[in-house]
Amino acid sequence: MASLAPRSPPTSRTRRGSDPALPVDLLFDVLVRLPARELCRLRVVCRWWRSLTCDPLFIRAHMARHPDPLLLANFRDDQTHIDVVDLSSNVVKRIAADGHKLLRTRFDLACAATEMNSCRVLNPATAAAFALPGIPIVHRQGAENYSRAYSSFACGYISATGQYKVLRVLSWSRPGGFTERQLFHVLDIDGPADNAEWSEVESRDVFVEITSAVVVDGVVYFLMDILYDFVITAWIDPGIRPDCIFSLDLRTEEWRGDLQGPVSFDHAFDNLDDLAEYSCIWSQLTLADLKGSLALVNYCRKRSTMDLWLLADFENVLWVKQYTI
Amino acid sequence: MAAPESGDGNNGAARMVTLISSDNTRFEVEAAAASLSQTLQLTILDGGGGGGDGIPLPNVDSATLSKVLEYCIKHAPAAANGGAPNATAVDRAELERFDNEFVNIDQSVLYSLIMAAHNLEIEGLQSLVAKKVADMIKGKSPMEIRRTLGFPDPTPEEQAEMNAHMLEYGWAYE
Repeated sequence: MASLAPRSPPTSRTRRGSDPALPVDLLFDVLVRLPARELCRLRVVCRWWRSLTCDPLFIRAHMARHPDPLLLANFRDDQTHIDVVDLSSNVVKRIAADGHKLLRTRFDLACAATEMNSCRVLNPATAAAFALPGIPIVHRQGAENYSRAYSSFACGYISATGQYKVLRVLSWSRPGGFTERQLFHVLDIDGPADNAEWSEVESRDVFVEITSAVVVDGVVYFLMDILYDFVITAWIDPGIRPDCIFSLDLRTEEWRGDLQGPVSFDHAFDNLDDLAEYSCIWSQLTLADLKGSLALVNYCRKRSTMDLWLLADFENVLWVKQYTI
Repeated sequence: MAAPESGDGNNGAARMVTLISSDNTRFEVEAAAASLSQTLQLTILDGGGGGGDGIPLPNVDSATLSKVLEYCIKHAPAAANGGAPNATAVDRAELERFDNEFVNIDQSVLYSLIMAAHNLEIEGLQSLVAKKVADMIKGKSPMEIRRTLGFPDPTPEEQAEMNAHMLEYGWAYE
């Protein structure tokens, strides 16, 4: 029988006469009830509790039972730490940032990336940090000079398979700042950590705006790169509208069909008067995750309004204007 | 949810079954109450436990069994209503009050109770005790948890390991 205290014979009795041995499923049932902020303390109690509470099965059961999120925050006045904050804005723990900055993510894992092209995955419930493999140092023949590349990351949870995956985008820019090339890689961080490897996603002939990335239910959504906005401003039809959204499915590790946003429908490209407004659509869009759906926020500075669209149906490109402020 | 054979099936009088604890004490109890145990429910549906036979429970002593049955008898009417969707707020409040008082007991009894609930597959009772134990752990330091649950004192090796992990999770004590 499993015992609360490993290595101690099951017959060991305490001063108070209670038997510390509990079967694993009962201990599981007890510990899974404790809120996330308690987990780290449980891990110090003994080796057996630590291995139980670090088990992926336990972590998932715990996540299912405690949906209230812990947030990661990187406060501006303290760049050296990442704070874990609950919804009542109590700082429950503090993690050394080592120069990492936070990315937007959901669920109980979050990515932090640096300028140095490295990425770590943090688990706010446990403060465990997991360093992802970096950019290959040995260049393949004919491969790009990786040292010029800027990498960015997005982390998502695939509920269908229970996996966490990280998307890495490597971007190369021309001296003028325009994107020249982008490469996409996906890493399954549930796999064995020792030989985790990035697998390349087939490139496509569009550029995405990496800072716009938002992950909803295992799909990473991007707005188009600012490059296209400049093309539109120069009155050249780039073939896509400024509210076009690209998306990559982390589960299949493939691109999905391009999604047309709801904002540009009213605008005809050949109308000169509309052009100014049309070309600034891009700069007023933000993607977000709202109630498990993709949300597109359109802030129109000229009219001081903000429209919030929710994607109701990806296949049929059905957008619902949920709020106008 | 309710066992179809229990209750009215027997000329209006509730069907009774006999349970025998590990120390050979016999408990006579309504089949509906005993059926809160998934394990016992199967035996009872098969017609076991009636008459002079009795169902032996070699893993449960009489003190624990009487406590378990106290819980089952209290919860049987609500369980018969399929989780009591039509129970009044008063009924629910009364059950809650009972539950809170019920687990306000010595830790060794709690331990026997959760083991019995586990063996007999009484889901509600297991949850109730697990929640109580979780509450006892909540907010305590690792050493306090060990003391509360009656762990033996850590060996020097264990203590060193604990100290190392406490450093790692240092914020937990802020």
